[in-house]
Amino acid sequence: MNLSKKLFMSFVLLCTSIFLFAQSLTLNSVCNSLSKNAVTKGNFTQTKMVNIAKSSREFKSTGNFLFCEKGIVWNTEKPFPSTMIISPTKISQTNPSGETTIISSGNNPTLGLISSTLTGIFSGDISSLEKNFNIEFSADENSATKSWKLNLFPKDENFSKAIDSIFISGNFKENVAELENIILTEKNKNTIKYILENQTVAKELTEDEEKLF
Amino acid sequence: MKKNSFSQLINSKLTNVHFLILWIIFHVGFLIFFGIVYFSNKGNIFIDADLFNMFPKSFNEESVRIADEKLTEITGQNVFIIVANDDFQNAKKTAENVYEKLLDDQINGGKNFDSISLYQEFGNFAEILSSLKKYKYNLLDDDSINLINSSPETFAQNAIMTAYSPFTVLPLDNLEEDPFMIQEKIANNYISAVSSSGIAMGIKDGVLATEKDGTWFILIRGILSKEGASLASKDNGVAKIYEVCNSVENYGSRFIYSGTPFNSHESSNSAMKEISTISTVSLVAVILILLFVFSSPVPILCSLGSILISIITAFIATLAIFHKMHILTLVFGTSLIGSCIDYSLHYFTHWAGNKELSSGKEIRKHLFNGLSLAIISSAVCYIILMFAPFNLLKQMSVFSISGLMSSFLTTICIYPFIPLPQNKREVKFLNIIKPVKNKTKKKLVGRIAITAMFVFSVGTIFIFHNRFSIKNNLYKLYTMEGKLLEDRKETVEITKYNPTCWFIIRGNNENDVLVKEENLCKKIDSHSDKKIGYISTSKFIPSQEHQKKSREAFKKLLNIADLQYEALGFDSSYTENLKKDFESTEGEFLSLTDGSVPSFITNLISTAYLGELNGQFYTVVMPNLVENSDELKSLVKDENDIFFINKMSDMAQDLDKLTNMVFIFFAGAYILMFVILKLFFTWKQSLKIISIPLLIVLMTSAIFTIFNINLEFFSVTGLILVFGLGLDYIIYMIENEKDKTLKTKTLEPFATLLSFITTVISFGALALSSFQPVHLMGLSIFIGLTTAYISTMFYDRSL
Repeated sequence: MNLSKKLFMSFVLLCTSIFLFAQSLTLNSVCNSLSKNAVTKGNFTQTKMVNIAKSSREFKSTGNFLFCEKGIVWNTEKPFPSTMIISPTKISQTNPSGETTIISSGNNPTLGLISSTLTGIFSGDISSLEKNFNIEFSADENSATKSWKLNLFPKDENFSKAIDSIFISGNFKENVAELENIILTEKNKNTIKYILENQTVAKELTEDEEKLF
Repeated sequence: MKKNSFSQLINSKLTNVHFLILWIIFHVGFLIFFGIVYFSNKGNIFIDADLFNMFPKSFNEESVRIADEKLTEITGQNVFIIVANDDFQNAKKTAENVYEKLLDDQINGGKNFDSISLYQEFGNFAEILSSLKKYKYNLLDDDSINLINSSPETFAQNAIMTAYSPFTVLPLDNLEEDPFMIQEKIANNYISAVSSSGIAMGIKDGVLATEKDGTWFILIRGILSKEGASLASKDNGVAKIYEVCNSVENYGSRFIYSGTPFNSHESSNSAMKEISTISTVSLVAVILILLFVFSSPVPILCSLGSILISIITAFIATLAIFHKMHILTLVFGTSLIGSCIDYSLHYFTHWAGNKELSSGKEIRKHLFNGLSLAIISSAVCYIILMFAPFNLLKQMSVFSISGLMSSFLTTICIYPFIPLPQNKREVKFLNIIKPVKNKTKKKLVGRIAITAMFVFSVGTIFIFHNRFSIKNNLYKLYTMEGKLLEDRKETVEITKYNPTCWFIIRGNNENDVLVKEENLCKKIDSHSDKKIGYISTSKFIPSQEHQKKSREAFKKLLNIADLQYEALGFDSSYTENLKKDFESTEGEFLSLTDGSVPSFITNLISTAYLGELNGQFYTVVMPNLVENSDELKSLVKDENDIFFINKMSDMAQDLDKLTNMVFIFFAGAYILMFVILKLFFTWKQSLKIISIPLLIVLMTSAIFTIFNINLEFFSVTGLILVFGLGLDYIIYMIENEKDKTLKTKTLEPFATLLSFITTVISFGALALSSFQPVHLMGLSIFIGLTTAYISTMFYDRSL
């Protein structure tokens, strides 16, 4: 092999490696990584920032969550216990006295959109995300724990009347994606921020969890 | 004899000119009458092809019937176009193309739709509820009111919990005005009312859509205008929908059509095709017979002219009297061709073959008695139908009487002007009627045959008495087929919406009717454990009584407003503002009568709130899908102002009642005819004549029982019509027997045979119809007329 050929092959290898490295943090790779986990559980801290009468008010709550193919369980523990279960077709909310309200997600577009967005991300279904949102994806691969950010802007006119954007961010430690924050900005600039911590994964739902859906 | 002197008087005193004037008065009179009605109604005269109008009006109370008719009018013009595609965006693009094209047509002067909608605005609850802000204290639901009354603190705590919950329907920026989050409650109630009150489709990308087995379905809804629903027009709404859907860029989408107008369009088209077929078959048969028998164009042209005039007269007379005519009347009316030709056949048989009569006037004089009695007997039967509480029968009655009368008048008034044939006067095939030599033997055979017919029919009915029943089944009368049936099934599967029965609630005022409706809704919810979804007015606009209760309950929350504000991090000064806001809305009620209801709610309840009709208020509670209607019916069995309507079952029961009523009319007509006959004939002759209708009923019933066909409304109506036509044969024969002046006795039986053949051909064609009501009516008329003719031949003593 002559020098020019060697140089050429080295160049090709270098380009390929750069390309492969760049591909490691794409929306596809993040979603693919997330979708490998059938069940993701963890704790959340929710902070609602509400603009009321020229000032803002904060409503902070904590609890645990569960993401799976069938939907999302949002179990608030403090300051007031309640459980919300979001599936592709319905949303149910149960208060401490056991009273449950069931809403078809079709009739509540905002909740329906959130449900389909999160299940879309966790199931790696990027095409469904692209149908509903204009997507901005960025990654920071220089930090020790690679991080990624996803900004979603609703395409649908009705949705965009209620929601300005959904911001999702996470890390990509050891080539495994993890979702850390979700910030939902409403049209009136109220925000709901979720911090997701202590995440664990499982291959399947437990019997009790299965009953929730 | 009285009738002879009357006949002689008419024929001796009146000239051809007098008869001509009579004919002109009759026909021009109807034409003027029609013209006056047409212009006074601004041309609003039409052909009605609504399938439901084919059936009698309900025997319910008049006021409820009016309310139900209004509901049918509203829902009967709804059309659903569902666009199906595996790709949502392609389905949406197709739906948008269809919607825009239909909308363009409207903008460019089209008048087919009252409304057409694709895009859904019921997505932003914040905007919607802001228009109801003033009434928020009035709109708490029962559960909330009960909770507040028993424990206002729990309600308040639930509100705080909602504020901290992950997602809320409404933004939280109204907390200082609404610390108990009652607007969030109202929004949730409205969402569940909307989701349980209609089709099972959700809003996606601004349109109503759903996904099933990988296919997306998008709904376009429309309400046809009166012009759009008009089936008389070729460019009606349904035709426009088909045209647009077939021509737009569809990206591989397919269309599913549903709604009464599509069925009416289909049935109207097939009815029109049948009219053409029946008319063509009847006319061709008549022309051929006339051509073979008379070998002259005169009888053919005159008979066809007479038929045409008869049908036009019948058509304008019916339209002038009823302002509309059902398509079935028209289908039936075409069979008049066979009846109308009878008079012409009798006239032209003598015109062509009776050498003893030397002028048209003499032919008229000879036929006058027989034809007059024939038209009287037919008219009596048809007039009886005028008393039936059912417009279709009344229309048929007017159509038949005016058509036959026109034909009769043309025969006696116009035909005598036609010069007799100059060449030899003969009728071909006359020799098939031969005088009988042994009259005693003929008499004996006749008596045995008539007795045998009676014995056979009575015996058959006795043997198969288990099958003999008067029962109507509407599901058998109209059956959807092909794409319409497939589309209907698919629409129900997709939308889970197939209202087959409903409640009509009556009240003295808006509040009264809504209070009654709320009580009914509670019963339905508790009976079905809230599993039956339905549309109702009070779910969106509670009664004033309920609104007062809601305000009373809120007063209890005001007592703990200080604490609630504190818990939410506000100072107690907000409490005063809340109290002032509450007091400022004192006496304000959300009310349809006051016009305070926003349009998005009035649109939602357009099929549920009927409003004021004849001084009383009506609403409708309409379940989406009902599996056991008897259970629902039992919920209101003790209610005086709530009526359960199950259209198909109610109409079948009403048809049963009407069928029995028609039998009573038959008995009335029977007695009346006997009295009339007795005026003109001897006891023996009268009994002979009147025994024929009885034999017709027995024989038809017997054949129906053999083939296990229920005697139902349309076949019984057919029997009444046979009664009118079937007497003609025996009357002609008895008149022939009585007439001692003429030597040629075979002409009358020959004319009667021709009458029978032409009539039976036209009614036989009806029996071939695929449309069950027409088929059954045609079948019973065919059997009845054949029985009438055969028994007449056995009764005949003229030859």
